[in-house]
Amino acid sequence: MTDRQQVYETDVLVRNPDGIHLRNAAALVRTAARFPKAELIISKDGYEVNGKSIMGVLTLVAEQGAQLHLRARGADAQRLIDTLVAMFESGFDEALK
Amino acid sequence: MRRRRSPSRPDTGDASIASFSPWVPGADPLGVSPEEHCRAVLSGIPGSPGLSLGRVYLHTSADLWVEAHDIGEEQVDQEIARFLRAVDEVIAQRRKLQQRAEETIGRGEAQIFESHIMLLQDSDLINGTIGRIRTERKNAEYCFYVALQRAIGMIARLETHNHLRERAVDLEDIRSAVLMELSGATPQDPSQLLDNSIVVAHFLTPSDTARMPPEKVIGFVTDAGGPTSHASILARSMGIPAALGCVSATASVEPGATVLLDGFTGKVYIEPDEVLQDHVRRWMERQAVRVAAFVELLRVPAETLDGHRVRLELNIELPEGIARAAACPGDGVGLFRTEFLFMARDDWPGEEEQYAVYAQLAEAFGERPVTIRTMDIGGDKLSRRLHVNPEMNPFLGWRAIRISLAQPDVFQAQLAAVLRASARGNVRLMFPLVTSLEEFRQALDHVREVRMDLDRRGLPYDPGMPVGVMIETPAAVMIADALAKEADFFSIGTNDLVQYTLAVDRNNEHVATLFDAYHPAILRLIRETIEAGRRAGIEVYVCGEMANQPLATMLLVGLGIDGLSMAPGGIPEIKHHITRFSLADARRVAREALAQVTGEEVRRVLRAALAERDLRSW
Repeated sequence: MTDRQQVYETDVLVRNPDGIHLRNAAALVRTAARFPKAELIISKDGYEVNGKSIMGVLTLVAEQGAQLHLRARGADAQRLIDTLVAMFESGFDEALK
Repeated sequence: MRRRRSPSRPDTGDASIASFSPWVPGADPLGVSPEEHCRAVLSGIPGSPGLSLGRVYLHTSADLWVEAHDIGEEQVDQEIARFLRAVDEVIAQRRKLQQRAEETIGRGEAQIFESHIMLLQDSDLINGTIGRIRTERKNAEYCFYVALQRAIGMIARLETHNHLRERAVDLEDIRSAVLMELSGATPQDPSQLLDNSIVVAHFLTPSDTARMPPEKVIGFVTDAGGPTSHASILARSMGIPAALGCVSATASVEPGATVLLDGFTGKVYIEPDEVLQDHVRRWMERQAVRVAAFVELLRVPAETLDGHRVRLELNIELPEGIARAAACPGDGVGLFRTEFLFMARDDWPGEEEQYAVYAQLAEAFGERPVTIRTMDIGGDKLSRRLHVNPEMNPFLGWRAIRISLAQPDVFQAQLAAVLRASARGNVRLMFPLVTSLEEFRQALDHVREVRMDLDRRGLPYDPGMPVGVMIETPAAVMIADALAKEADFFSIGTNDLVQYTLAVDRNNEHVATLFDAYHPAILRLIRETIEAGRRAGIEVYVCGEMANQPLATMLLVGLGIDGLSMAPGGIPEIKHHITRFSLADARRVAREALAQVTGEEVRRVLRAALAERDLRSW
C-alpha cells in the first residue's frame, strides 16, 4: 500500500526518434488514465502540464533527447511512475505497435 | 495503403512498380508546350510525381472567422450544453471517419482520428472552455477558440521538426470541425465526387481527405502547404500527382473545369485545349507501354543466367532525391553524398541538422542498406569556410577524410548524426580518400569515441553498423589486404581512382582524352581490390561512374564485384545486361580484357562481348 500523500518523482529521457507526437501522447495519456486515483504532473524546463491531458502533453513539444520530469501523488502513484518509466525506456512508440 | 487505377498510372497490379514509372528512362516529353495550349497556368511546388488530366473538384473549408459576443447569465448553462452537444457530434463524426479510413485508406490514417477523439474528450480543453463561458460570459465559439488557440500557439512556437508540426494541424482540424458544428454548418460532402476528380483546396486535412472516395481522386492541388503536408504524403502513397503551394489555385479555377496537373513540375494547366489533351492521352499510352516493358524487368532480380546475384544500389546526390530514389526498386543506397550539407555556407552543419537528413534516408529505405559517406569536400568541391586561398593542386590537397581528421569536432558531429540514424534503419558508413591504414584507424577511433558519447547521452545506435573504406587511390589498392582486415567493406570510386592513377584531370580539356577507365592499369587495380576483399571475406562495390556504364558491367561482374551503385535511372539498363550473360561467360570476358595491354584493346574486347549477346554499349 503506497502512502497517499507521498510524492513519487523521476526524470525520464525521450528516446524515441519522433518525440512525443500525437500518437505517443495519446498512448501516454491512455496509460495514465488507468490509474484514476493518482495525480500526474509532467514538466519540461520548468513548464508543467497535467499528465492526464493530451492537450497538456502535446504542448510540452517533447522531442528526442528532451528531459522530462514526472511527478505523481495518490493511490498507485508509484506504480504509475514505474509504468511510465518503462514506456519511455522502451522507446515508446515501439511499445505501441 | 491501397493503390488505385488512374489515367496517369496504368494499373500494373503492383503498387511498388506503378510508383516506379517516373523512373522509366528517358521519361519522355509531351511533344507540345503546354503553356501555349491552355487558358492559364498555375505554378506550385511538386508534391507527388505524375500527370493527371481531370475535372476540378473545389473543396472549400469552413470559414474560421470567430466573433466574440456577450451572453446573459441565464444563457450560460444553455451555451455550455450547446458546446457539449457540438463536441459530442464531432466525436461521433470522427468515429465514422475512423471506420471509413480503416476501410478505404489504412490503419495508420485511421489512428489519427482516434487521437482526435481523445483531444475532443480532453478535460483541460473541455473544462477550459466551459470555465471561460462561465467566467467571461462569452459565446461558446469564442471560448473554445481561445482555449485551443493557446495550445496551438505554444506548439507552433516550440516545434523545430516538420513531423512534429503535424500536431498543430490536428488541433486545427478539430478546431474547424467543432466551430462548424456550433455554427450549424454542415461540412462539404465530397462523397458524390465524380470520376477523375482533381481536388483543389486551400489546404487539406486528414478529415477532409478521409471523406473523399479515393478511387475517384486522381490528383491534389492546394493553395498552401509543402512537400511534408498531408496532401503530398497521401498523394505519394496513392501514386497520384500533387501540386502544393499553388497560391491562388482555389480562386483561379471553376468547379468542373478541365485541368492538366503536372506533379513532376508542380504546374497546373487550366482548360487545356484539344491538342494538349490529345498529347497527354498519347503520353499516357506511351507511358503504359514503357511501364509494362520495365515491369517485366523489375520483377526479375539482377541475376546472371547461371543465377549469380549482383546487388544494384543507388547513388543519391541531394536529400531531395531520397523519396524518389526510395520508390525505385534498387537494393539499397551504395553512396549517399553529404557534401551538400557542408557547401555554400559559412558555418558547419550541426549534429541535429545532419541527423534529420540521415534519419530520413534510413527510414525511407527501411530494411535496405544505405551507405553514408562522410563529407568529401575539396578538390573541385570547395567549402567557403576552408578553401579561402586557392591551392596549387587541390586534388592533392585539403580534401575529404583529411579535413575530417583535422577538425575532430566537425567530424564527430557528422559521425554522431550517422550513428544515431543507424538506429532508424540499416546504415553503413564509409570514408572517402583513405590513403593509409593510420587514417582509417584514426577515423575508427573517432567512431568509438562518438559511440561512448552517445551511450552517455542515452541515444540509440546500431552497434554493428558496418564501416567501410572507399578505394580511390593507387595507395589504397596497394595496401588493400591490410585495409580489408579492419574494414567491413570496400567501395571503389572509379573516377578518383582513374584520376590519381593516370595523373589526369578530366576537367582539363588538354588531357581529358587521357582519362580512360578501361586503361589496363585501372583494370588491374580493380582486380587487386576485389581479390583483397575476397581473401578477407568482405564485400566490394563500385560506386563510381563505371558502375553505370553498360560496357563495364560484364567486366566488373566477371572480376567478382558484389554490387554496383549508380543513379536511379541507370538501374533498368544495367540489370538488363546482367540478366543476359552467365557468370562463367563474364569471367572469361574479364580474363580476356585483363590480358589486353591498351585501353582501346580492352574496349574492343568488351564491345565484341556485348555484340555477341545482342547488347548495346552506348
